[in-house]
Amino acid sequence: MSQYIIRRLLQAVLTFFGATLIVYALMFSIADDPLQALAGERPLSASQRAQLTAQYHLDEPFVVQYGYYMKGLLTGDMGRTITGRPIADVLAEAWPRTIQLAAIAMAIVIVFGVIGGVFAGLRRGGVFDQTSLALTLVVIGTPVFVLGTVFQTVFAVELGWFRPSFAPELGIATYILPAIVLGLLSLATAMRLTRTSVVENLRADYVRTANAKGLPWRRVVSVHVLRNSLIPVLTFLGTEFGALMSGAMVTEGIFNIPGVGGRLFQGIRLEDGPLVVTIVSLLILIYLFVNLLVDLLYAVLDPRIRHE
Amino acid sequence: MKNGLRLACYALIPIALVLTGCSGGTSEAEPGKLIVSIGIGEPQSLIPSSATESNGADVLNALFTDLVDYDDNAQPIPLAAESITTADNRVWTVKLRSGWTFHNGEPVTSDAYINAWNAGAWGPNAHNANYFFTKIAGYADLNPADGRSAPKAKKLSGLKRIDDLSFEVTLNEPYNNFKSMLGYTAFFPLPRAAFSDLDNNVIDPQFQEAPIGQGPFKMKGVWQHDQLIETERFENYAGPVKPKVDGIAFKIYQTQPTQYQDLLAGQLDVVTQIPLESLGGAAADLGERLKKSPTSTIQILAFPTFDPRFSKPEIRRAISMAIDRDEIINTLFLGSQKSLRSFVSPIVPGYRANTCGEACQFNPQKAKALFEANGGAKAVGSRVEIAYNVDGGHKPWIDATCNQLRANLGIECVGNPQPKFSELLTKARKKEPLGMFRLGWIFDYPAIENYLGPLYSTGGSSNYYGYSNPEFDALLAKGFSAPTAEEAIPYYQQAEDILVRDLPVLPLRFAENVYGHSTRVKNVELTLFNRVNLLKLEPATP
Repeated sequence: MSQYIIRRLLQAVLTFFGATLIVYALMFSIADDPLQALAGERPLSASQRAQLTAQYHLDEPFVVQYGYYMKGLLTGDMGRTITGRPIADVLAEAWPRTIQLAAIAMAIVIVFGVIGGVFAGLRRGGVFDQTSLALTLVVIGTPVFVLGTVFQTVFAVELGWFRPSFAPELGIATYILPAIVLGLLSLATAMRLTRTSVVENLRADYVRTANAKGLPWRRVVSVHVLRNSLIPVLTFLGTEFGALMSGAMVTEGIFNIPGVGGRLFQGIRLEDGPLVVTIVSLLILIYLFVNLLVDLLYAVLDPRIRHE
Repeated sequence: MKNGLRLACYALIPIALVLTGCSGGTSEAEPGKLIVSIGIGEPQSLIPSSATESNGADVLNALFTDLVDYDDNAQPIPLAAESITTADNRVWTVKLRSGWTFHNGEPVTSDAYINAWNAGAWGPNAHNANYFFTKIAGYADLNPADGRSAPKAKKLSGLKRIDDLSFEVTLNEPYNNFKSMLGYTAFFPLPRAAFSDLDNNVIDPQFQEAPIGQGPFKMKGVWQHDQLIETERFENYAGPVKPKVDGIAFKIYQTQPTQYQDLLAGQLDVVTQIPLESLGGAAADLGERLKKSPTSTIQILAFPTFDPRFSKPEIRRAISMAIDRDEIINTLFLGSQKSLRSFVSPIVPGYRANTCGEACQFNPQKAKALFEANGGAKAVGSRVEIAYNVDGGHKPWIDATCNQLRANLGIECVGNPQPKFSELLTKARKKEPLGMFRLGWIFDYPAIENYLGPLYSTGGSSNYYGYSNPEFDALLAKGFSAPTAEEAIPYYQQAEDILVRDLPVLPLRFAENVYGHSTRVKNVELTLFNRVNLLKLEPATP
């Protein structure tokens, strides 16, 4: 087991370097004139252009620029954004917010998605199953920005239950509405997936055997059906956590949460290579870590799966 | 369906209520104090000589006071200065009012201005407003053409201290409207505390986290990046008009629609620009709290001189007459913009309405006839393109303009989308095929030459289309060296008449700013710079 974990961690290191190289190359190829992007529609003085070009090594070839970036990263210096803030500061402020948002969204997905799915699966064809099917189809078919704006208008502006924008003085409560919006899409998918999985497992031989043995229904469902139904759901949730982090970009924008999404968007707009690469690389690392966690959980859920 | 929806809502509400419930009250305001919140975007910088974009400038204008203010006719009047005088338009003497102090207690002296301007002009600092100092003698010595070699001098030779409260500014060339320039953010003073190495013009990087100015409001805490910048009234403010509110909180937003939602929910007091998509319902939402103010922004359509298809002025004229400016404004901009038929903004002294004359009047028959007489569709290769940047929301009006050209001139017209404005400019600079392209201009200070110079003079900083007419340049130069700003205006107007003949660009529209405020405040006015006039803000009496 530990050998497996070490191997996976080593793979993560390689992936990290490969990913930064690719993302840096992509940023480099789209970067056209970061200094003009920074200046917006205003002119830039020749002297300022010359200074900033030298300061950010913008006139050097790709490999040299990447070298500077890597050298900084390995010596613990993430560099500065093109507006002059240390990238480390930006990330230290932004990451906790995005992680909180994604974690609350994830909790909502797990609680409502899985419970709802089990409920729908157990009473297949019932009223709850039918309405939840219709509802999840609507949610899956609605773009996030529509969902976000509608929720913001209805629940925050009209009803006044929430604040329309990020309010740090409210603590964790400020993330609730954005987390619901962010989680709804995954919630819908998780619910459909759990339902199908439960329905399938209810017809499995081992459930019939368990019933025949005279086990109480509660035990059949909670131990046998649920445990086996959760494996595909877990795979989905694992990949979904990464998707939630990057998908937070739109939601964070609507609700004005100063998280990673907004910084990433700003970085792309200003063609700020180092900022984008650092954020994306960290996203990749989290993604890798969560997936490792999911793989390990498999073994817990299903003893047949061994990581030798 | 309906039942399902309701069910889902009920399922979600309880946790939300429990969680919001446990965090306690929502109001953080102290009783009896009015802190007015204003929505802005994250500033790029809070160093005066680096804050050329509006967000940083908005904040700095609460913390600092300009040397000059502008009257209703956009003429400069001294504010922090007692007088600004000159004999020859080249050497200017600035006399400061006495008794002013910075928020940290340091007196405001002529050195505070000289030090700040030297730092702004110092090439290696690479401040955004660096180009404002080009006019001051000695600028070239601080700004080597190549970014890697060391500047020849550390201080501007054109700045000379006379005594504690007066200093002399020598310009490279006489410029009669220098006084107007001084109302720009770049010319604020800096206290000694701002510098970590005064001799080498180095500003402490931490300074902008809590800037110290001499203005009506001072920082309360530090800049909370991407969230909030709080200020409170500076009790020792020496300006003639004192603020009537207790503080300004600049709330930082990523998008404008969220600002508007916050205004509706009572979480924000002033939205300085109501997003286009909310304009339709804004009158119903806000009633009398929806306001309009003039702005300096103009939108133009440029013809690159390197594209031979547009070399004939008659072709350009025909295209101009085929565009129905009013229709686009009424249908797409819902009255938030107005048709522009001159080459400068209506808010500057010297503006004359409708200088463009017949060429900017919509007349499809004449346009078509003129177009055909000058080669018609063949002359432009049967197709024209209009380049625009997609990140600025320009697609709808570009498409509408194209439809009009198609219908009225019988040529194919397509939009040429560019991902970013910087890419559009790079292509124009490299003379790559673009077609016509859009361009906007916001003034730096209210003067007619601040439009004519950068946009239409040979080598002007925003003359990306390469227009060059020696006659125009000569008139502009005459204007610059006229004895006074008023006497310069006829020259500038003659120069504008040349533009009417040459039509290097087509004037399209100028912006009307639409803004709104909450019920907590009154007297919310925006200046020509699109900034809330903070000294006029008053608490609304219920």
